[in-house]
Amino acid sequence: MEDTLSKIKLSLNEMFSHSADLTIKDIILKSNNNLSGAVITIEGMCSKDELAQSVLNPLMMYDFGAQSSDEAVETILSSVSGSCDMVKFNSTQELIAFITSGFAVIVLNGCENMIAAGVQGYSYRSVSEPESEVVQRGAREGFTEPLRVNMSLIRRRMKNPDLVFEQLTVGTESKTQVMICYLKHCASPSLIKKVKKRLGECQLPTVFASGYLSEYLEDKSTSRLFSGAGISERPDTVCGKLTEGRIAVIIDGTPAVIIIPRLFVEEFQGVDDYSNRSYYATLIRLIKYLSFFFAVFAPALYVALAQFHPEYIPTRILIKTSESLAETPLPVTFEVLLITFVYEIMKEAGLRIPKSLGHAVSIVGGLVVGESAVNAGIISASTLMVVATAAICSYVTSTLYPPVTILRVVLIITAGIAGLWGTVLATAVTVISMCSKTSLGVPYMSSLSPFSLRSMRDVFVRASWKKLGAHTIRVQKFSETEEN
Amino acid sequence: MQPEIKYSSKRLMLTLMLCACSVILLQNNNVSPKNSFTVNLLCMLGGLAVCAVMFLPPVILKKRFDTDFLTLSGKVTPKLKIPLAALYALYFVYASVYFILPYTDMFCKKYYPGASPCIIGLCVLAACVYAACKGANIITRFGIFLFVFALAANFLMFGGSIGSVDFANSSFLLYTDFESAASAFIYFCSPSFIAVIYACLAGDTENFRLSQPFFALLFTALKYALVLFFVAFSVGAYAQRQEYQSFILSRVAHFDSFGGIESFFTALATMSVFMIISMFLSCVNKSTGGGGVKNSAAFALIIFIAAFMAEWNNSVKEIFTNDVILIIFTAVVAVFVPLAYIFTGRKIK
Repeated sequence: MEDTLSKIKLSLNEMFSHSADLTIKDIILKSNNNLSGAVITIEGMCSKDELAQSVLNPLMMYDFGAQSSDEAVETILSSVSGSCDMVKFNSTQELIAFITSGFAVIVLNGCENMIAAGVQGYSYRSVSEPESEVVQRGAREGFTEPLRVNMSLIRRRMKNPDLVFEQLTVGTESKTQVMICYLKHCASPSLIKKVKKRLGECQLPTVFASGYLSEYLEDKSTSRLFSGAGISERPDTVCGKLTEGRIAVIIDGTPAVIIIPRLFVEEFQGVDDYSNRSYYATLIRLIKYLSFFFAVFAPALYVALAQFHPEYIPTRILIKTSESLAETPLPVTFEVLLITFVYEIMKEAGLRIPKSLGHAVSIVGGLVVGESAVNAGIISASTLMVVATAAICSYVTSTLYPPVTILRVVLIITAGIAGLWGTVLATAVTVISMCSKTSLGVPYMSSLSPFSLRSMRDVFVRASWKKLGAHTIRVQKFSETEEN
Repeated sequence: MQPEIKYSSKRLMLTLMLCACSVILLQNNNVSPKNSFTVNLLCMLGGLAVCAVMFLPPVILKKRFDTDFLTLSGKVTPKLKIPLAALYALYFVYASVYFILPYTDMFCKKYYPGASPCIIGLCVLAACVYAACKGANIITRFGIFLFVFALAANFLMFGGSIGSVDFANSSFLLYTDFESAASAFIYFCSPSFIAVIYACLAGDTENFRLSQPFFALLFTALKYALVLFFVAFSVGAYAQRQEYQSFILSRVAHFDSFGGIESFFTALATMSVFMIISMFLSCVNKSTGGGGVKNSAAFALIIFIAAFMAEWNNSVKEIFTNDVILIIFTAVVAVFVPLAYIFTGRKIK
């Protein structure tokens, strides 16, 4: 029993391969029995001030008298350390988990039990407004990287004992902490069970972002074009979803929180909708649906009409369009595809390059490439206008950008081959695919199909708060099956 | 393939109503201009009454045993499973060809002259295989979107035709000849194929009410009546004598200078045929006990071969587009065979 400390030090040094950031500070306590021990930390993970004030100073000052090491551990827990986050444990696995999470672990020689004291103090980004979900009116707080900070942001808004955080560890190498969050009386137990089961099945070596886990949380053998797991960086959005019976998955190290199940109609709901007057929110909602429609169909319809059915275009527009198309060497389908791809390339370049070069890319893209190509007669002005309008529309519902881009390209090609008829058939197949998608067993197209009249007050229109607040619709209402 | 789960009976009935409504979109000289509007209306009501009668056996089975005919027969007479599956598969293949032929014909003659009917049929069938693999539940979900689109397309078609209504074009008086009236009556019996679909899928639905088939037929009658009215009083005598009068109705419909409503009509017809054949393939999957891509693709290939043969041989086409054969076949699979099980109801229990 006497050499437990040496054994722990030896095994830790072996496991960490004498890593430079593993710090083991030997201490001798004031006692009649010459009690000795060590405080183990990982450098940079804990606050030195907190460690000194809450752990080291009280330990060195306290007189343990004739206490044995086991008794001393109990004393430290009850009356010595000033740290409010103290846990007793006795396994090496827990020891590793604690020190890698920023805890200071106190080990006394001759005692199997150890104490973890919460003195985390690593540097992290402060709470700020998320850039991807900017609101006009509403909270300016967004999630940040540390898990505990994110938990506190949710708890501050939901002062409710029914709010549950359940911890899991995923990533065979990274051992990332993941928190499943739900409201006990709102979330369906079967949904919670499914989320835990699917996270348990995740055998990834590392989990550094929400995208790693969202694929595991989605239903198997359903369409992958649209995502069945939502992402939010806003605590108020997450809290709203929790009250609708959804489950949030918070991952340590990323501000993006997964919300599941996710429905199609949610893609058109924004935080501002609920702060604005209902009539204005309804208008915005309708604009979003129209934008989605334009983003997906506008280039394909343009190709179909220009190539197969010019008789449907109003005469004045037809004359101008024909003139401009006649001057370009490429067929209209290739022209639209070319501009779409060039636009995607410019978008990617704009995202990756430093901000200071962003303006240069805008100028080169917009003026040099766009205007010069039109003036040179390589592309027509009408084609450029249609593709640009579709591109702008796709940003109105930015979360749908990936499926919208894929659908747009597929429909352009279909329209180029088979005109309006091909577009209709491809649309029918897409709608079937969307209707077959489920998220945790809940149909992705719920509210629309399966249709729910009651849910319509928050789909195309945003009813007044008096109506919305009268009855909250839980997401499990739409679930047709408990299987999957 | 979705897990077999119960879905709303209302949704299935809405889908069946859309399937029934689509019949009139593809009508090609089945309703003779010799019939007055009133005679056509009476023939239509008579035809839909026959549909209602054909609905009775599957509805009785649903009410009494909360199941569909295919499931029940599989349980009661397992030895007859293969002959029954073959009979129903044959019916659905026949009915699919019955719909795909006029659709491709209308498309290639009226909408896009020069297109190959075989390629059009093949593309539609390929899309149907995908939908059939997803199951009837998913197709009924698609039906909700199609319903909204059908409302919009019909609004444009009828709204754009109001301006052209001229009561001198036809008459409310009763005039016809027997052959024309019989032809129209038999034609209006053809929507009874929806009773066969119901006989196959009713067991997978819940919350069934007797009012559902009633309202489905009522709305179908309303749609037919509107089409008949506008064809009789809006398109004019010359257009009435041409093929595919519904298409012509959509072509002449316009709002001031805004026209091109035949595109909406063709889109509606395309999606309706897509949905009908997908439902048929879904029923074939159920009757043959398969549900995968292979099963659906195999039957789609048979449908394609039959349609291809019909395109090249007029006698084959006559058989596949014959309303009388369809009605008799429908009566056998929707009424006579299920009735045999209903009359032995005590034994089933």
